[in-house]
Amino acid sequence: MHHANHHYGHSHILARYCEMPEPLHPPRIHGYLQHGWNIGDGLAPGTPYVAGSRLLVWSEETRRRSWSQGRRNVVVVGAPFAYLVEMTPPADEPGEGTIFYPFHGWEGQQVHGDHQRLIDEVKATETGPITACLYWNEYRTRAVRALYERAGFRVICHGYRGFMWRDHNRDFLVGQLAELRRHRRVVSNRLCSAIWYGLLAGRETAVYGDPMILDNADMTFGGEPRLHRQWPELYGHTTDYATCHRLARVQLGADELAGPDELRELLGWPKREHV
Amino acid sequence: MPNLIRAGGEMFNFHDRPGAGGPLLRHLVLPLAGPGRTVLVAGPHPDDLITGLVDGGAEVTWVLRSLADAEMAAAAHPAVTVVAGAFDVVSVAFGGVAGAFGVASGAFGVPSGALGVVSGAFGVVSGAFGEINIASGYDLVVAMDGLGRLNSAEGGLLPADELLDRLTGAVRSGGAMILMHDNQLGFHHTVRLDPGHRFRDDAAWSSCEGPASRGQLTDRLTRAGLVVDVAYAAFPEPSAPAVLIGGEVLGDVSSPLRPWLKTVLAQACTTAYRGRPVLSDPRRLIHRALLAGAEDTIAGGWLVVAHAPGQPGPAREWPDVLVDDVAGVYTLAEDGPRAALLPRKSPPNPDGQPVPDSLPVTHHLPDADRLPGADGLPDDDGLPGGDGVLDGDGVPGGDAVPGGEGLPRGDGMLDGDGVPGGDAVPGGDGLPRGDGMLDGDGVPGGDAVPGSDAVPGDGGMPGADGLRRAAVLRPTHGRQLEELLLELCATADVRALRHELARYESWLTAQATDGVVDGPAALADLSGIGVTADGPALLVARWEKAVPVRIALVRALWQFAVRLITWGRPHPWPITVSAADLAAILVAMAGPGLTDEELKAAIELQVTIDAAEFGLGKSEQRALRLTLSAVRPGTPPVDVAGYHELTEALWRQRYEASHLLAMMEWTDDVIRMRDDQLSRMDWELQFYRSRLSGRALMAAKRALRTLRTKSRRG
Repeated sequence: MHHANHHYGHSHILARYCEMPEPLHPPRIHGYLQHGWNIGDGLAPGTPYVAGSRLLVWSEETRRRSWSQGRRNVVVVGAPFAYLVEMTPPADEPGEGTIFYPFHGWEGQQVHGDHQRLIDEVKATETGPITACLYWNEYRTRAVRALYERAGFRVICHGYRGFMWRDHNRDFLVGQLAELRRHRRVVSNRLCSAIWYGLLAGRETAVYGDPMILDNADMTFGGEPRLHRQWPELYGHTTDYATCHRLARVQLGADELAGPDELRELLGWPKREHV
Repeated sequence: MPNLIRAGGEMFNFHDRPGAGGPLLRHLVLPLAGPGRTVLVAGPHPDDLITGLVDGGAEVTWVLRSLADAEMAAAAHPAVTVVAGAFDVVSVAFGGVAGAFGVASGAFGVPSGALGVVSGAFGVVSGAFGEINIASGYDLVVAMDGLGRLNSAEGGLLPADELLDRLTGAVRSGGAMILMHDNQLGFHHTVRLDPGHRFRDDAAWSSCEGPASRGQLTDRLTRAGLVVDVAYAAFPEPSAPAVLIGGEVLGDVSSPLRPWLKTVLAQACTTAYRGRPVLSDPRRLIHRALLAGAEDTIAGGWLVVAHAPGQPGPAREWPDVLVDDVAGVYTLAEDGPRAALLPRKSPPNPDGQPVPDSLPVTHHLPDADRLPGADGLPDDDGLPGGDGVLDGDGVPGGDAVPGGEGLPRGDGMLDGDGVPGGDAVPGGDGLPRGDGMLDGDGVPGGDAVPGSDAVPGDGGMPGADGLRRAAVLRPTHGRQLEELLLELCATADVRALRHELARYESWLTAQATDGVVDGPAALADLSGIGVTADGPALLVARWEKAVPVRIALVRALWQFAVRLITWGRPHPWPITVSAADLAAILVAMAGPGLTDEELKAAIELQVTIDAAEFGLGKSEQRALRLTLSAVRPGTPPVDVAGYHELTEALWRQRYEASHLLAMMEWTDDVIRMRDDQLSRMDWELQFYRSRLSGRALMAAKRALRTLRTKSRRG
């Protein structure tokens, strides 16, 4: 199994949904599971891809785009987060305050921008307590974390997504869903998975502020400017929840989710009778 | 033989295979003859047609170019005057409508005296054994074999126009003519994959094409003075038509009969083409033509019934659609019942003995409600039609056919162009079958599975396998479920697919009692299910049996999966998925997941159906079972292997092979990487063990193990 299939505990969530006997040790997924929302072919840029492998993407839109990029064996399964939402009883409380996701890079690409200016804008816009959720490498960067702490934000990290089959936080998304539901609003300075997740979790969202710059950003698919142009509904201090929620369902394939037995087949997992 | 006239130009040491026949043509031809009426049969025709004419009291003159064929015909039909010779010699002319035509005299190498001569200018053919006056014309001219085999190698070659003139000229005032004409643009020519056939065909010394469209043909006949009564587009091949479409239905894409036409035409093609190599699956071509309302253009041929002005016989109604299949010959009107015009009889056993009607038919009366109305609502009812029962088609196996070489019809005899005679086998529906599954029947050529151990039981009782023939045919304003699903697959509309599959599953479950479906719905293919505003409705079913509802569901969906793969149709699931896995996905979309046992039972059920449909023996069943169990990308259609489909299958195999190679490389890389990592971790372990703390840890571990061992021992 490609190691990215374990990122964020994706394979573990799907194993739980499929009622696999050992969801903590999911069987090998036959193919590449899209591990983050993106505007490309579903694979993260530069992912080594075994020609002809199954590409398991989140949405029909991504499937079509992927096909247009030369991928052929592309199957829509929906985002693991959407399955998690399906499996998790809805929150009773409306949530309080705002959870803010500063745009993050990853191990291979750092982001550059003025965190302080961002903090100021968020503080000026949001009401109620604010939680800043940092990516694990920024969370471990004392200077960045201190900035948010000094601003009075509650600073959290959902954990490490894992790398090369090791050190995954299997409950990454479980924790993220709990945090999202704990808040009333979900905010980021760039349209990203967390915004879509927040919408699917039933929270208001907004995208505003300095989108920051990513090292060696790949502009093949239009980069950040395209996000703004293609999904203007999500940008601004206030957005229309119903509209944005509808878009989120499309992007996360929430209406395309397969049943447990169907998903087993799509992932190449054994039938119930064989486990 | 007193009834044989050698007119001159006859061919020696040459046989023509039997001509176009079948119940459908008998149904059309026989009522045009009758007691005392004179009939000219031009060219090879099947024996049973001649017998039917004679039995009906007609005076039959049969013109054949092969002397051997003529001798056999004369022996087999003492009451028929058989004329051996080239049509340009034999044909006559007659004052009829077309004016006078010269008649051959002893030209063309006919020695007078010994073989007889054609004497006189107008219509007396005299031979060694008799004389026939054909100058007065005929009440009926039958040319169901077309124009292609009227010219003799020994005589002059008449162009098609002139042959037509001679035929029309043979119709006396008030008489009728029935003619089949091959369409050179017909799909049967387009899909032919038979290189060099022309050079292998002993009869292909010339071609005789004639009118190039139905319109040209009817114009030509009209110009010749005939009045066209009806002109059908004939499918699948002019040599063995099983479906005739004419009137307003032809080309009318809004006709409520259209979904049903898709089914019966695909069925007829499956029957005709199963096991024959073709350029591309003809069912796909026909399906597209039906969508475009262009079926007339690609029809296998055109069948025209015309009459000469005068005092014609009683007026006859010509239905828009005529079909010949397991139910016999029948028609179906938009709002009326199906009428079994000619019930099917059993074919003989290979030994020539007739077998009892062995395929019991369950006739299904309409549900009586939900008729398609002017409101456009679908209708799935309407078919009173106890049409009866059928099997075989009554066409003899072909062995008694003059000049035949013992090949039963429907078995691979060649047409004029070297293509097997169009017959035999399975059923399609709505769409190309190509998968080995069939519902077909058809069995035009008279090869209806007699005597097979796979044939279901007699006398209306189910056979050992529990199968019973079902004859359900209902027009509808809806669409075929299979067509709809194929479309949804092509557009990757998974949500709608789930909805439709769940609807189908609910519908099927509603047909069940105690978890068992015992009726035609149990074995109906998705192509036999219509989608109406009220939900699924049964359009066509060919077999029925009591089947657990889950197995019925699994079979239908697995069959659909096979079609998706073997037809190379686009779908939203992995391109490398096998039919079994695809079936599991489809079944899971409709409800609980699929078990291996269910799939096995479904495949077994399909084999049972196919075995009954095509009379497969045990070894053939075994081979079919293996093939069907192993359908995966790269598997070509099981029944009709089209070059196009084989190429598609090859592409998929290459795709999979290149993926496997890439996967192998990746696996090697991963193993290497994991080995490196293991090696690093081993090094770390060694390192820690070499430290004091490590040594202490390992000593403690050994001590612990020793203690455990001792405690266990004692």
